[in-house]
Amino acid sequence: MKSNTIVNSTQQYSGNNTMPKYYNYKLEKVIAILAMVVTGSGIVLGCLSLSLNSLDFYSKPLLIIIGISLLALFAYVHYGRTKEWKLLVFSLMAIISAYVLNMLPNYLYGFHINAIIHRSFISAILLLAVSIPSFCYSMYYCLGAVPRAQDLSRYPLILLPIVLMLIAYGILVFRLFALGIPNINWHMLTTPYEWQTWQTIVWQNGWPTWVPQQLHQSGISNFILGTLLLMLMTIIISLPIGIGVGIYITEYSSGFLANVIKTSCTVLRSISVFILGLTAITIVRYSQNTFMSRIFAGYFYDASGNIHQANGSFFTAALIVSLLVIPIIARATEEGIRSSPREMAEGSYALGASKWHTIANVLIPWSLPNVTTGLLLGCAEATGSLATIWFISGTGQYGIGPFNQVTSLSYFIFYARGDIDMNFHKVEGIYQYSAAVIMILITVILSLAVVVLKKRLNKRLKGM
Amino acid sequence: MQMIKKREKFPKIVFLILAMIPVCLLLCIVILLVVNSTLAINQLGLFGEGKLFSTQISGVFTSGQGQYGLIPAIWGTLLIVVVSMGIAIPVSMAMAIFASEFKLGLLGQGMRTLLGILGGIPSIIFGLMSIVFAQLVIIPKFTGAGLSGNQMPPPGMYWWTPNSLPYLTSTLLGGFMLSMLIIPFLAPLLDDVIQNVPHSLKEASLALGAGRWHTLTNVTIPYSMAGIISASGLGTLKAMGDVVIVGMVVGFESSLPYPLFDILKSTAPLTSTGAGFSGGFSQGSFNPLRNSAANFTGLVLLVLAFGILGLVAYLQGRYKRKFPK
Repeated sequence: MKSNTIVNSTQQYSGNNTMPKYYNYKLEKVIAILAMVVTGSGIVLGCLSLSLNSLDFYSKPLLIIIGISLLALFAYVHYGRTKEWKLLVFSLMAIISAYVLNMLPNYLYGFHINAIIHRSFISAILLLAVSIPSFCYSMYYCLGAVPRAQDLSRYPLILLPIVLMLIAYGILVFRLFALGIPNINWHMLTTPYEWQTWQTIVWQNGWPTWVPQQLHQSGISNFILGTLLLMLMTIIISLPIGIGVGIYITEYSSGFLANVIKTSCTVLRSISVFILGLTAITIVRYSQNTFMSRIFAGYFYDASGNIHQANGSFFTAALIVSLLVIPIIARATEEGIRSSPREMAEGSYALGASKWHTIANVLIPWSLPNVTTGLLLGCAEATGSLATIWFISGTGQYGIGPFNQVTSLSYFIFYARGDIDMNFHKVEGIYQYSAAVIMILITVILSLAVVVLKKRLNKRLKGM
Repeated sequence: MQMIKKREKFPKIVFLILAMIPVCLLLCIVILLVVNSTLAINQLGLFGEGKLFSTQISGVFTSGQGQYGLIPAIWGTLLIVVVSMGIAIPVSMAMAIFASEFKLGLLGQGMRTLLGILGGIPSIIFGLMSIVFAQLVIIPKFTGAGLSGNQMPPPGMYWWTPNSLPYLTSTLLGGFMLSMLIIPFLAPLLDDVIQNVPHSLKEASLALGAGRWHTLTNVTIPYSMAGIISASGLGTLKAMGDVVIVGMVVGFESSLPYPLFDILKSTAPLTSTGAGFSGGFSQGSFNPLRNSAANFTGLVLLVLAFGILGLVAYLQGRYKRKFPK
């Protein structure tokens, strides 16, 4: 019995070889390249017809061509070399989807779906679904169907989403710059936004009359200054606390307390910014009309010189934003100290230095590059955070100071969109994209500074 | 000797105080949320018709009916998280694999730098520029543009603004813009996770004759599954917590869509619904009940966030048991 099975297996190996004598590898390659070209154009057409309606006209013939070329590849490979049923499946899918597209009307609606869908959307999805996998298969046969080809033929699956997403980012940034840069001018950068109305008493014919006065300037300098002030105050509040947390976790902590602090930092980082915004409202509301209102709620003088209570000061906003920044700086400090070689600290102890002396002179300089990185990331966070200061911010037209009404570029961008305040929009609406460009420039400069500064500080402080 | 001990103790106490500040502030935030939401719980009630956990919700700008049902908002959160993470996880996974697995040298490094720069873009810019993608995809495909006699988008998908620009709002577009925000945050995390897979494992697989792709799918990804799950959990929390994009693209009002999975309708998630409830000081007068309802929304969001953190920890533990280090 045993020998019989062995004989059978060898028979299967040598006897049942279906490979014909005259198998033309070059012809296979040519057919595969043809299929690759056709399916590749299918991918391109599918991506394009995600936005262009008029390309719907070409999708049906292209699907039929894809089906025919895949059928040819299937026939040549299947009867010449390996049993590959998947190619047949994809070619049938292409032909069936062409048939389905032929049956569909131009516009699809009904089924309680809240849209009128154009047919080209469905044709785009069908094209992508058919041509991406069949492109991979035809690439596999184009490369000779060796094991290395199997790896290479999967590259499009990874490259395609990356390329599409980067194109989306490119469209976004290009469009933003195209809309924003033409409106940037010196006047707008240096003039503060102001919109005040008040009344003055003028004596006419021996009688006092109320004359309405108006002061209006359009510009965004106060929003830019507000953003910079918010950044500065956030740094001042969060830097000592963040470094303290990082040092305590690594140097002083006993296990349980360190875990509690770490967990609370993680939670602070991951809870919604909306909750922090609510907290800001609560702080301002509790402090209004009390002795703390100058600090937390803020104040301003209007055009007539009267003092008013504002809805939230820069100090409150910086407190709330620093809750987001503290975990970043703490984590950066922790990483920096953990990466320091233990011998350096021990050498310092051996020379008789105290713990505080070691921390201040050995560990903090070592972790300075990481801290700087965390700090700049925190600055970017403070620049962009609208949700935390959303509810308490104003236009900042009465002056920028630590205890004035908080304002920021992001607030301007949101409200210049014209959802709520009409007057604000009509005058300032043209500047919203310019403000967005300035904001994006600030954040990009910060994140480039991270890269450069980290390298320089590493070289200077660590010698690497 | 005692002087030295005292001097040693002083910095320790200072650092302890500094380190306890975040913990105390977190506790304060949670306590304030609970205290502020008691008014809404007392006045409106929790379960039943027209109460906090119901489908009845009055419009934000037509408040006064006092209906603050949160079920549509919770459903909207679920929808938008599924849409945004469904786009973000595959793309950022592909980016991570491209940057760390393919040894392309400068290209991978450039990808990391690019992601670092894109990560600095604030969320409001994605909200502002959503109109670009609305013009590119949503208007030509879903609104019946070009259909004679029907130039307007269907109801529920646009938001009329004073300068007569229709800002299109749908959960699909909101999810896409959110995924654009999340990808630069998620991809470096996944990149770190994939880089931490030991080389010896991969080399063993390659030495046994497996290809690169086979090694990737059968060795690298299963080994780094725990890290992938925790990174995706953080991404989900970021998607849940965003207010600005969601408020600008999806809107502040939510009603339960019909059919339930209609992502072409705008269903505002918890964050923007709460923001609409609150309104803050910027929308006229301050209303204690509305603010209290907003605080209750924040409390629900906090509970959901803790639930996701717990789920992530549980799944991580399971995968760690599967692949012990």
